[in-house]
Amino acid sequence: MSRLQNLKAVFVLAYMFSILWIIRNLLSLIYLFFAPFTVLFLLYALVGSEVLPYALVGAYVMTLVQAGTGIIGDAAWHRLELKFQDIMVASPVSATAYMLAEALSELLYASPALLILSTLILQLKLDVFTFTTLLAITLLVWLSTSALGFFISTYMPNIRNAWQISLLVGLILAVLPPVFYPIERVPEPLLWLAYIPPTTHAAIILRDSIGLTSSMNVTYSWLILLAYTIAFLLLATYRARWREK
Amino acid sequence: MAEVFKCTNLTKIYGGSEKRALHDVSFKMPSSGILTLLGRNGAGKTTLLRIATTQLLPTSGSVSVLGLDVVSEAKKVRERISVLPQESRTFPPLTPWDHIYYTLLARGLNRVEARARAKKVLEDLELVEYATVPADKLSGGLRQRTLLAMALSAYAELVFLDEPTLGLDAVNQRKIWSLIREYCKKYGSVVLTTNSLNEAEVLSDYVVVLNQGRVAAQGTVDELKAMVPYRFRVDVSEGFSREELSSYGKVVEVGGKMRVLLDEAGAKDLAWDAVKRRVSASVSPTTLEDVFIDLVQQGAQDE
Repeated sequence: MSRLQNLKAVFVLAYMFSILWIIRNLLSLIYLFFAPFTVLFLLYALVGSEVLPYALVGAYVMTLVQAGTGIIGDAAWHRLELKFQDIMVASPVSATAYMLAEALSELLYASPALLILSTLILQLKLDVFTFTTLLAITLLVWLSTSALGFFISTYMPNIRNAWQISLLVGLILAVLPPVFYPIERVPEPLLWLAYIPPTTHAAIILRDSIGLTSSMNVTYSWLILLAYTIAFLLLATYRARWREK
Repeated sequence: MAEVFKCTNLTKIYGGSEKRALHDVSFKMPSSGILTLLGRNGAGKTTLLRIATTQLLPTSGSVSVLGLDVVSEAKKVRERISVLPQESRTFPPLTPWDHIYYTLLARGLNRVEARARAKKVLEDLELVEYATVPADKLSGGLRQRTLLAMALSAYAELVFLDEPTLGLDAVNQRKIWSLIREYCKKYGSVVLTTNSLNEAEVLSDYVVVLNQGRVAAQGTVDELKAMVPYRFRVDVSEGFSREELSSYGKVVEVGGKMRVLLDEAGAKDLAWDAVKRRVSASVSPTTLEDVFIDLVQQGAQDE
């Protein structure tokens, strides 16, 4: 099968995994749609309107992370319960095409929330730079967390573990690090830890684009995020379990 | 011409395990048709099928599918096969049409081809009236037929079906058997795994019996039947002691009944004796089941 046909397979499978589901089962949209707004509301209620720029950036990154880590559960379900991945392994569809289809389907589930959140972020600062930054961050965080999610999913021994790990990775990437709050709030001894997750850098870059500067040089954040994306994509391409040993 | 399917000294040891799931398995499917991998649960059938369909790497030995090595030429193999994995399930809200049509598109067919093919397969598998019904509203038999349709719709030269009738009632089993036979006549060969002796006997052109990861026997159904040196079996439930029955032939216990495997003259004698004693006895030719039980018992004794 040619590369072009594999690219077509990405869209076909993503459509099968997401749009067809959404059309027939609207309930599948609800969690990813409401989750970021409940966090926004919680922060607004606790702190007030001054926290909204941080909360919007955090909610946006969190939604992207949830789309990526959602693959852990969904791809494991397709593999372990439906055995659909087995059907695909024994077909001309490549592992990369299958992984991208899973990733794209999760992005489609998250897209209503992402559209609303991005519109709200652009309300804070509407210019080409912010818009381009938002697009680039979306691409990098989606690709990196999806690749990581797919890699993890192929090692999950059962679906229950997959759901648990999916939630855990989501917490590690989107709740604990300075995604919803400035990195300067992190206690000095833990600062090195806060710089490790790629999502810290995604949030720093997004905040910078809307005028919330931090002590971290944004160029470094771009480089780190790019490096993570490449590393996770390589990990998923070469180390995800497609053909078992 | 290359064999359709061939295993040579195939061994599989799963990581972290000492036990061999497959041990030096060798056989070949010389021509097109239906090959059945027959064995009890845990005999190694699914492991073998997963290796043949490029899902699992062997520990040693080789497998060739349509003349292609499944390890070094996996990409080429994948273009020419399709698979129905054991206990696979449908996507709950998706319809039979969705399952077949979109899988065909993903395999590289264009929309016109995929639509025509999906329509034809739905007709062939008598799924037309359910084409737009979500899978979670279909019966188990219809869901299984949908999954079978996904595998068969690829029109692959070799289709692997891992226990395709598992959990189905007798009517649905027979329906699927006839669909597999039809497919085989029109499009390509089939390798299926089963632990149903009836299924193997009805469907197979060639049978490989696996027992504890080894090939216990192989050949056509008739060749396998010829391995048991008895042409008839007589089932009796009462009126005879085991010792008495042993004088007629080989006695095995099947489902609480005594079964005697014997030659034609012995069958006549035993049946007549049963009539004289006014007890029921049923006489029939030996089946694959008798061969299988014999082979499995031999395997257990060898252990």
